[in-house]
Amino acid sequence: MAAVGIFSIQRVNRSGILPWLRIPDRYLSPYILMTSQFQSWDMFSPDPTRRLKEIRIETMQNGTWSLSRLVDGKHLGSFKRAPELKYLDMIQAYPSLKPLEEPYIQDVCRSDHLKPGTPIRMRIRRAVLPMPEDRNSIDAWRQWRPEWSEWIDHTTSCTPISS
Amino acid sequence: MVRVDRPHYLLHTHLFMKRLLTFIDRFFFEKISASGFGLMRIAWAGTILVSMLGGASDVVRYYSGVGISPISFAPFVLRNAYRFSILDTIVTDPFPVLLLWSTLLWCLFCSMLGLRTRLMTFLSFVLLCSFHERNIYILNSGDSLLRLIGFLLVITPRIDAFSLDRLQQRSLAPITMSIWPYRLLLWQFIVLYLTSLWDKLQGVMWINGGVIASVFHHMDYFRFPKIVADLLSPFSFSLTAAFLVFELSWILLLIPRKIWRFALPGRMQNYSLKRCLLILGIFFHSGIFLFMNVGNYSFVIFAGYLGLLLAEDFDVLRNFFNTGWKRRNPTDDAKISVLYDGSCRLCQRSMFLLLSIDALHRLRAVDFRNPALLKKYAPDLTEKSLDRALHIRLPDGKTFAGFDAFRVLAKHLPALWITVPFLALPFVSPIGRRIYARIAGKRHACVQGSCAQK
Repeated sequence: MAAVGIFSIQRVNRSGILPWLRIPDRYLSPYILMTSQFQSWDMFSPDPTRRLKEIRIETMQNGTWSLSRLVDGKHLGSFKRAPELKYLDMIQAYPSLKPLEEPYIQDVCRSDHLKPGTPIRMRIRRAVLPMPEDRNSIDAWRQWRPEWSEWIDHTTSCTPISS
Repeated sequence: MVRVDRPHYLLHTHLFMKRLLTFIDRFFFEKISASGFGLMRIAWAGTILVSMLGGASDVVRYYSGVGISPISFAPFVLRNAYRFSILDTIVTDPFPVLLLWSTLLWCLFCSMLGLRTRLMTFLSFVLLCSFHERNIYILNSGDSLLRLIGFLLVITPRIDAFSLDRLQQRSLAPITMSIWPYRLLLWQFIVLYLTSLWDKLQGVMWINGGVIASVFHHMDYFRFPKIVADLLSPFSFSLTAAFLVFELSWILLLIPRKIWRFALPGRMQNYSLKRCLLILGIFFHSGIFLFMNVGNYSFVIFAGYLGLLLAEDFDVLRNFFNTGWKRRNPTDDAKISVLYDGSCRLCQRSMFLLLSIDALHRLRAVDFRNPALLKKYAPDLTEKSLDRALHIRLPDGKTFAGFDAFRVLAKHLPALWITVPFLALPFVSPIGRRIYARIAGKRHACVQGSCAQK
């Protein structure tokens, strides 16, 4: 439990408290990782994300781009919503995970039975929630509407399914 | 020159060490009820089972080599150090992944029921970690807590409370275990809440109280339309503050109760801080689940809370659920007499099963073959009539038999409460009576050691 405590404190150590814990952490982290006790309780912290996101997977049919799949909180089932949105959040947020966009899109090709060579792209729509300075105002929230910006994030074409 | 009285000094040191060792022994190895961990095992396995079944359509997508996270990408996107997953090397094709997933479901099911409890729980934990390590980017905090609870269950000495393995031992004696797994679980929750609190205090929105309003307007999480989020916004500050205070309060559990009792006024000394925090936790996490879609987090927290229940907590729960019963039946001896055939093996097993799930302690087993007991609890009933079906007699004198007796018993056994609405349906009784009559008709009658089929 001491190992868990040191591991957890190091992971929230943004303000640089207890730097001397780095030494035992170096030796205890392997134990924590091997026993899958790694943990990070940063749900909605330090601040919850204010980014609203819609991911549109579009395919070119008859020379025009059309919506093939819409990935957002409203269009995913209960069990699928949390893992799918978390996954997309992670691959958008970290440059090292950008390569995972290609297999994600290829998976759409497979599941929608798209012909090899079909152009396909990921369009992202994003809005930002306002900083809730006037937190007690129902009217302020009622008047608020998201201002969407959008861009094409990834364009590719469906590859043949390898046997 | 000061003269040191050596024998006295050694004696004090010896006494101090003895007290210290006794304290450490009691602190880590005092015996507690293993029921909490038994319930935690069931809830843990059940939560993973439901989550995995709910995500059945995405098993190949998330975990196989042809899904959204191909094996070839693993060295670049997953951590390589101190990581092992069966799904990395041995099992990568879709069909074997599905087979492994089915194996995980089977192990969880057995763990939940308590069949080969230790082995199935261990296998469930290993397979769960394999699936989690294969694709960590779809996981949430609830999944992390599932692994932690799983690890604790694997190392805990007794996790077989409320298990079919226990039923086979035919013992109703309560299981006990050393307290150290309970302490580890408690400290894990303290680490969870305190690190979460510390992380929150590094931001701005938790401090200015705007978090709830913001999160409720996040369309990926909030379950209800925007108008509901707008109406709840004025409560943001108070809910945010309440949640932070709740998280901070967990640190108070590190203070021994004996010290607490000095600080609290007399009337409050009988209340348990842990129970208050658990109740508040149920309130907060139920609210999170009700309003937001954040995966299985709330249910995993509830599973962990079950592990924090000790014998005294079960007593409080029992007294709470028995409040109405005790008001209607004020005498100490007021119980439901269950009249069964003590010479019938099927009846003995059924009675044992009923007593093992009699969490509210409302039943009394009465072997009607014992004339003294029969005279005491049901003098107006004959052995012949009792032989035809299970009979129960309530404290108010009402008697029920067969399926009707079972239907009444279900209301008094928490494990069967879920069946009560179904048993109350009008078409169920005639079918139930027929089925019961068929089972009762086939039981072996054993008289003076000689058994014959009826």
